[in-house]
Amino acid sequence: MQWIRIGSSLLCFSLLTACSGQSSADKLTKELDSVKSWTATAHMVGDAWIKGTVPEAYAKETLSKTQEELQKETETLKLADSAPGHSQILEQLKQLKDTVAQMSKAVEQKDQQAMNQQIQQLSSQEQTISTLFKQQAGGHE
Amino acid sequence: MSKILEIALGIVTSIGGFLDVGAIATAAEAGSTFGFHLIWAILLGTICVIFLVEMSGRLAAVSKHTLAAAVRERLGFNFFVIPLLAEIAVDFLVLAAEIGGDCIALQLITGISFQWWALPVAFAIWLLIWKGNFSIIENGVSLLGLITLVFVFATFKLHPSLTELGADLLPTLPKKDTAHYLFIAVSILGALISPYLFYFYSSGAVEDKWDEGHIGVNRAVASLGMGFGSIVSLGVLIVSALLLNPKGIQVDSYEQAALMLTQPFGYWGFVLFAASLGIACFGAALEVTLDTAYIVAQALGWNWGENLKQKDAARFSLVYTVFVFLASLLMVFGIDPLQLTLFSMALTALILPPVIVPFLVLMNDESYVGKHRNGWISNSVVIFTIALTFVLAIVAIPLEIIGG
Repeated sequence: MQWIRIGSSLLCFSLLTACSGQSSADKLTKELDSVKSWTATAHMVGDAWIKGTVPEAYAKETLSKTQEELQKETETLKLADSAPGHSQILEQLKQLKDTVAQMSKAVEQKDQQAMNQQIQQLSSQEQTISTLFKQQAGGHE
Repeated sequence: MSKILEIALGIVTSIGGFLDVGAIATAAEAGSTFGFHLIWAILLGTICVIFLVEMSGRLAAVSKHTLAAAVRERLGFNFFVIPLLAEIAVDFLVLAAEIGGDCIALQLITGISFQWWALPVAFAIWLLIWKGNFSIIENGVSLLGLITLVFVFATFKLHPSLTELGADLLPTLPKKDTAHYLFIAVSILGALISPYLFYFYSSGAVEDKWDEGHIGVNRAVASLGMGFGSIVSLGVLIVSALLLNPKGIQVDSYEQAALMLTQPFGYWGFVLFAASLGIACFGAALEVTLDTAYIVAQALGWNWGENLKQKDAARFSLVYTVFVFLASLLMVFGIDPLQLTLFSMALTALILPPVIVPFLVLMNDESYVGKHRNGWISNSVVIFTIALTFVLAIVAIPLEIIGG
């Protein structure tokens, strides 16, 4: 009986912590981590494809998955907030998606030069969005 | 001499068979997200699983009972229904995840979506169980599983800092994302301390007709095989921590994990990752499928045995046939294999107490294990680890679900 009481207390504690503990800043940091993770994945896949260390089909599939994940993040962010700077983040996310779509196209056309250009663009977009997210997260604290 | 060969084969197959979809997914996610900080969970899980596997072999060798049959006999069918249903439910999810791992491996190599592979993979698993015997399943696939040692070679190639590795042998909470950290810790423990391992191991020992003369072999195989096997799991975590974590890649899908070996081994690294994932999951899928048929048959008193002809164990054969095809449907419907893996591993942690507590009762009962009863060390290690895992699971699973 005592064990059941301890168990249910722990469960209540964790539910309450989960409901109340996550601040907007935490949520934004989580979104940023996910965007960064998928952007870094696209970057690594692009590099690996140029070096010939991954098959074309895999590169295409993973880049397409990256676009889907970025789209999901965009939708989550659209619902989440309307603070100043928010629209800039959404705009940057759109540009990121476009770049990844161009990378996909480069794989299809077997165009390594285009892939190199897109990877460079991806790097600078990654830095911009990272700065924007940090400003937003800072504003929420 | 034959005992030495038996030990050697047991150790080699334990190493080859150590990895499964849970071990790969949890270690890859842990390394990519938290660096070396979750090494302690692999070490703790390994110590516990060494004790439990040794116990299940000892139980079978001394009592000539499988774990399921002994629990049913000692505590009655009405009690055994609880761990039985819990185990069947978890086996179902774990099997779907293992099939998912195989499908992803095939997708990586062929580019054809994983959903298309679910039924062919299920058929291949069923065919091998139907046509093969216990030795092929126990040794053949596990020997192929030695390919997973590629993660250990990659670790050596990457020269990780021993000081940093050593610093994470003891648990420390991360500065952020504590809920996810705990969830991954629970998933690692659930992946390592999988109840299907003990049920399968004890059934295998009975199929192989072990007696008290096997106690030494069992001890050596359990401790050395599982101990060295965990090095492969550590290899996955370390490679992921060294190559994916610095780039900011958090493994949320197998496609991301597949990049892990391309840096140290180039194109072959990609192929070896897919092959390791495929073979490890195939071996584990065979074991989970058979395990479910074993425990159902043993619980209901049916004929059972992988070495029996199908007509002599018809209901046993029916169970694995239906089970493997039903589990594959989760992949046909397109459930995310990695998320399913992490979830089913965490769920495994939740069912550990109802599975392990009766096991400990048996291992301290002289009428089953005679003078080979558990000592206080094995009882304490297992109780501590299971209690910790269960409490962590109760806290971490709701946090992870609500936190998204």
